Amino acid sequence: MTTIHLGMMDWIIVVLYFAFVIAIGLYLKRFGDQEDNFFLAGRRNSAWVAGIAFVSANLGALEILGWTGGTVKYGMFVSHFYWIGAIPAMLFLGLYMMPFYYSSRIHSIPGYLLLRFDEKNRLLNAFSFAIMTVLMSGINLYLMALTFHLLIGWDMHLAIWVSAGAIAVYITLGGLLSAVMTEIIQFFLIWFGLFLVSVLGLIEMGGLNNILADLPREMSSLWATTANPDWNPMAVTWVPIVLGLGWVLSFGYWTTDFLLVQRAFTAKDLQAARSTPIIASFFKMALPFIVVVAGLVAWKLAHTAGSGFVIPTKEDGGLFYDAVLPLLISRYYPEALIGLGVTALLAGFMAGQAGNVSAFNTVWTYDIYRALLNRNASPEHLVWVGRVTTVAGILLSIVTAYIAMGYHSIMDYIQAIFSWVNAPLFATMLLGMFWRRTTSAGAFWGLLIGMLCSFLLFLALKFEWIDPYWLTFSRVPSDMGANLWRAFWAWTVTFAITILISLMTEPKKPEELKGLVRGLTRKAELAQTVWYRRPIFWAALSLALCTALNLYFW
Amino acid sequence: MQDKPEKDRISIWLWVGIVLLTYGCLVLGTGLYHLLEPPATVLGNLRPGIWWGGLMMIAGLLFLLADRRRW
Repeated sequence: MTTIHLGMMDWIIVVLYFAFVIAIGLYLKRFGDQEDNFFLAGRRNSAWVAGIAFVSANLGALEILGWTGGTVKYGMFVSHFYWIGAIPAMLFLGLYMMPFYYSSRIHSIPGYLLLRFDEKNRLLNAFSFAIMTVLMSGINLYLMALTFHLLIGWDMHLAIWVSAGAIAVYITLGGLLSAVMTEIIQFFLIWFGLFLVSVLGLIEMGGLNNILADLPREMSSLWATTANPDWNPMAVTWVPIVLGLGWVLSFGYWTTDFLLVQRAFTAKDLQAARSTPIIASFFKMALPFIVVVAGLVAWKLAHTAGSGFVIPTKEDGGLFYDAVLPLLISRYYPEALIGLGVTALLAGFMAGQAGNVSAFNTVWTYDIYRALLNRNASPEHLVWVGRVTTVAGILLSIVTAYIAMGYHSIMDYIQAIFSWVNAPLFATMLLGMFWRRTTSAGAFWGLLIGMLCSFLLFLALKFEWIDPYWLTFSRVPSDMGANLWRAFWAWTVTFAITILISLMTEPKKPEELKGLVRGLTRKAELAQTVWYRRPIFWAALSLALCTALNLYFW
Repeated sequence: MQDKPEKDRISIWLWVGIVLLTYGCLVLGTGLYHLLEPPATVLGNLRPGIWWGGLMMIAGLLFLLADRRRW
């Protein structure tokens, strides 16, 4: 199935990437010895640096490969994951949630839960996040090795150990400082390495309109076919797209996932922190120009007789959609450009892994180690613990990768963990930040029961304990629809239980909540800033652009 | 790493410039070599290696020039 063959210049480009990231780690070692640099990247970054790192931490190669292939199956529908499934949540984070996060000078999201509620809320979130991050990191490592093995013919063990080893070196040396720096480089490599595929594809196909003209209506529109699940390839209506994806999953991920929010914590001041996700929203909105356009080119080629473009089949007989982008790279790219494309994918994998590891070492060091084992640890000792945790986290990821290699079915569970943790956490954070009556007991039990509810619904659907209709209100079977609805129900349960228990228990006094809850926080002092520098102006522009794109492709 | 001047740390934009310039040189150089031995890729006649490599070099140089005050 190998689709890409590397020449000598391609190998030089790939090896140079490893040399660059390790050189960056070695260079930053002297700065990484300081606590603020290791865990907060110095907290002096501009909004641009933090914003690009923010979007890069989200920009995994698996996502790019997966959604390019997904476009061949679902068409323009994939854009929902980049537009309604991201932009409103990113803008909400910047405008309304960042003042609480940034102003409280915390190192992590569990740190906010400690200030707003209590220790048990912090520990519940810290442990669930740490476990989720290590497991997800391991699965990503395994999938990276599998992808490069299938597409380029690399040995899986070598791919796992070399990429994990390089990450271990530069994160152990420079901490979050290294992670942020390599994420910026990864961002440019992805655009320069992959955007050319779309450009050349559009040239060969004679433009986007030529492709859209041939695409079936159910694949070429975003909303026009969502009144009935039978009318679109994803088999969902607009209700789960808006409530499940656009509301719960999107807001749960973009506003509470520490892996992302940590990048905004590195900003130099509150205005830069608020601008971080808003700047990132423009780049996120532009990603379909790589992912969706390349997928549409592949769809057109696969439906053009004599194009020579065939999507390979997997062992189970299904089409191997993840191979679509590498096939296009192989079709259009000569030597050296192939190396650049492969390096872009590799950089995407490694930056995502580095993001996981840097978030894990912060949560472990501050919210578990210092909270439970050594409250009086010195800054130097915390950096040392952060470095040891980095190595331990990577080793645990490697173990998880090997478990996934042996037991493929375990991946379904691990990949579902994300919605078990993040969808309920969004309900807790929303109530915690915007309703001062929310109590510590309400938050704790709401979050715990919400996570259990999401887990039980996952099992109930997987083992067919219940009729999916009672979850999705649709007779059309759809894994995507079930995932979106499950997230919505988990969020609703957390929201309702948190309110119920909060009303029965004693809230904290207002003076204890200053700076943590809306209504008890000083408004951000932005009056001195000219209008075109204010976050609200750029957020309005981003929202208008997102709306225009949705209307254009309605 | 950050916009606030700090004498003892190389700016991230300098690193970006070095990476783009290096890769641009390699892609452009290989593209020029392909003038002698054209590759058998679709649209290879458009010489993507030459103009894309050139574009990367220009982008890399711009990052380096924009950051020259800190050299």
